[in-house]
Amino acid sequence: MYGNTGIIATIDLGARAVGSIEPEEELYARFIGGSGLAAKLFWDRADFAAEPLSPGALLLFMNGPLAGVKLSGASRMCAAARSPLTGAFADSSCGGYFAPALRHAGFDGIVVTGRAERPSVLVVRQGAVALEEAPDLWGMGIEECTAVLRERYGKRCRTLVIGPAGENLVPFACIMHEGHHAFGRCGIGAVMGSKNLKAVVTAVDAAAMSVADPDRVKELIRELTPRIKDHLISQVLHDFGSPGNLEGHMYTGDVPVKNWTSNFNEEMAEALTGSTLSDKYLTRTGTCAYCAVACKRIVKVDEGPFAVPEGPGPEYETVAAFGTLLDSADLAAVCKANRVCNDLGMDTITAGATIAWAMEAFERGNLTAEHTGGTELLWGDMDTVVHRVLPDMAARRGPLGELLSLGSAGAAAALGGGAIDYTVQCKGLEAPMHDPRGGGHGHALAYAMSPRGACHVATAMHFMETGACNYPEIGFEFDLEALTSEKKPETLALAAAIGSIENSACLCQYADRALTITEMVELFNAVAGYGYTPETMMEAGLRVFHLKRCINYRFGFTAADDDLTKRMREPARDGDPAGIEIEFDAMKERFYGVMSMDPQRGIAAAEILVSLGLREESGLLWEKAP
Amino acid sequence: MTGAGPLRRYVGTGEVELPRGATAGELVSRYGIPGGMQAIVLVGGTRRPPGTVLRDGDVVAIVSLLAGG
Repeated sequence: MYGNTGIIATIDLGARAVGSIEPEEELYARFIGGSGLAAKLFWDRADFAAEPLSPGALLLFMNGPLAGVKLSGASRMCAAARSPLTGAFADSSCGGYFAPALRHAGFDGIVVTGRAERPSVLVVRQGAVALEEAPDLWGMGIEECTAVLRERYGKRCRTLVIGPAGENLVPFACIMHEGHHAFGRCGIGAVMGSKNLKAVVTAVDAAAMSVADPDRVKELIRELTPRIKDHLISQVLHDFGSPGNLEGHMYTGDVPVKNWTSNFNEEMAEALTGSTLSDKYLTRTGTCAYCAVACKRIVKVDEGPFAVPEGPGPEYETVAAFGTLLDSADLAAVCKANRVCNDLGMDTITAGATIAWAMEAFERGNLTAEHTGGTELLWGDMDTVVHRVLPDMAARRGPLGELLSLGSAGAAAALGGGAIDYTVQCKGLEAPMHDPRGGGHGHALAYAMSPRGACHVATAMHFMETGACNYPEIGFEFDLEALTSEKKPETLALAAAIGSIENSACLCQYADRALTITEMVELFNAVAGYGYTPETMMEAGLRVFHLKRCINYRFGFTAADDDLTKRMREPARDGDPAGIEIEFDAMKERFYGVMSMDPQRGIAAAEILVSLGLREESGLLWEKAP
Repeated sequence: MTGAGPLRRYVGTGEVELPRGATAGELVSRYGIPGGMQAIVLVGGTRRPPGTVLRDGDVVAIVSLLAGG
C-alpha cells in the first residue's frame, strides 16, 4: 500500500485490549481517508444506541493519505465521534504536526472505545499503542499538561490534550495539539474526557514513507510549493494570519456583530483586523508541518487587564467570536480569551457565540440575575467574560456556568420563552463567524446542509461563493453574485463534494486553494496510487457527504433538521445587504432536487446511494427503516 | 479608488482614468494582484460582480476576502 500504511490501531480502554484493523485497499480509495474513512469505520463499527459520552461510544483519529508528504497543507488530521453537543456525526480537523508522527509510527489512525479505569495517556510508539495511567495530569490546564508530557516523553513527542472542560464533559470541549492547534468543533474533547483519556502522545522517530510514484511526488512538490506560497490568500495569511481580511469582510457584511443583530461596524473592522493584530501584539509567526505559508500567530500582550505572555494568538473565528460578536473592539481581550479557552480546552466559536446569545438574553430580560447568580452580562464587558464566565463554563460552576456549558441551543432550550429564536446554529452547532446575509446567501444553505451542523468548512461553499477558486475541470467558473440564491444549490452540490475531498484528504483549505482539481487528482494518484480521474475523485467526495447524512439519519436527523433559526432568516439591518431576504426554502428545495435527496428523510435516494457503492447503507435505510 | 486591508500594497488611493465601458474586473486586473479573482470590488460601498461596467465618478474600493480561520 502507498501513502497510507494500511494499519489502523484499535484500543478498548476499559479492557486495555490493543489490536488493529487492516482495511482493504479499495476502501481507502473509495472513502479517501481522514473524515471519509472515519465515517465509513463509524458506520461499520459504531454502536448507534450508545450515547456520545458513554463508554460504548467510538472515538477516531484519522490521517489522510497525504500525511507526511512534504507539501504545504497536506498533513492535517481528523478526529471523529458522535458529538455530545449535537448528537450528530462529528468530524473535526486539526493542523500541526501529529499526522506525520502517527504516519511515522506506522498507523493511519486510532480507533478508541471503552473507558479507562483511571485517567490515562494513550502512547503511540513505532508499531504499537499502549495505555499508561497518569492520574496526576487530571485537572491540569492544557499548557501545563503539554509541558509535563514533553518532560515525560521527550521534547520531540507530539501531544493531543484535553483541558478541564473536556474532563468536565462540557459538550463543546476541544482537543488541543501542542497547546496551539485545535480539533475545535463539536465537543470531541468531551468524548475523550468521558473515556478518562487526558492525552494521546506520539513518541517516534521519523520514518520513510512509501509513495506510488516517488518522482512525480517530488515534481508536484516542486511545482506546487511556490504557487501555494505566492497565492494572494497565502500572502495575506502569512502577513496577517486568518484575521487578515476581517476588515474586507466587514465591508461586505460578512462579519456578525452583537449576536448577529448587525453585520457592520467600521471601528471594530480597524481595531480587530489582522494588520492591527500584527502591529500591536505579534511577536513571530508559527506554522504546521512542511508548510511554507506560516499563518499561525504568536502574540504577547504586555500589560493591562488582558496581559498574556508570549504564546498562540487568535484565529479569525476567535477574533470575531470574542470581538465583534460580543460588541467589543478590544483586541487584547480577544488574545486573552483565546488563551483562556485554549488552556481550558473549549471551542472558541461555540463559547463566544453562546456568551453573545446570553448577553442578548440578559438585555431582553429573558435571562435574569436569578439565572446568572448575580452576574451581569453586558455587551462588551470583556473583564466579566474572560475572568468569570469562561472559567465557570469550563467548570460547569454556578447557575450561569452550568447553563452556558450547554452551548447556545441547549441553554436556550433550558431557558425557553422563545430564546431559541436568537440563537444562531444549525443542528445545535453554532454558526462560524461568516454572515450569509452579507457574505453570500449560499453560505446559509451550506450551513443547513453540512452534516455536522452550521459549518463553513464541511463544504467548499464559502471559498467558491467568494471567488477564492475556480474549477473549470468540473464546470465551475466563478460568476456568482453574493446576495442572491442564483446557482447556489448547483454550486453547493460541487462544493459538498470538494469539501468532503479536502476533509478526507486532510488538506488545509487555505493552502489547497491554489490547487486545480487535476492537481488534487495527481497528488492522490502519485502518493497513494488511488487511480482517480476528476470524475471518480468527485464521486468519492459525494460518497462521503451522503454517507455522513446516512449516519445522521440513523441518529434521528431528517430534512427538518436542515434548517436555520429565526435570527438567521431575518434580513440584515445594516450595511449594503440591509433588508435583503435570503430565499432559503427555495434554495433548500432546489438543492434536494439537484442531489436527489428525499425531502422528508434528508438522505439520498436509494438508487443514488447504490450508484455510489453505498448498497449496504441504502438497504438498511431504505428497505428496513420505516 | 482605494485598496483596503492587505490590498493596500497593490492598490493605491487616488483617481484612476479608465476607457469607456471598463468593467470592475478589468480594473482589478490593472493592479497585478496575485490570485486577483479573490479581490472583491465595492462600487459606492456596494459589492459588485466583475462584469459591472464602471461609470465616471464611481467611488471604488478593492478588498480581499478569506473564509475560515
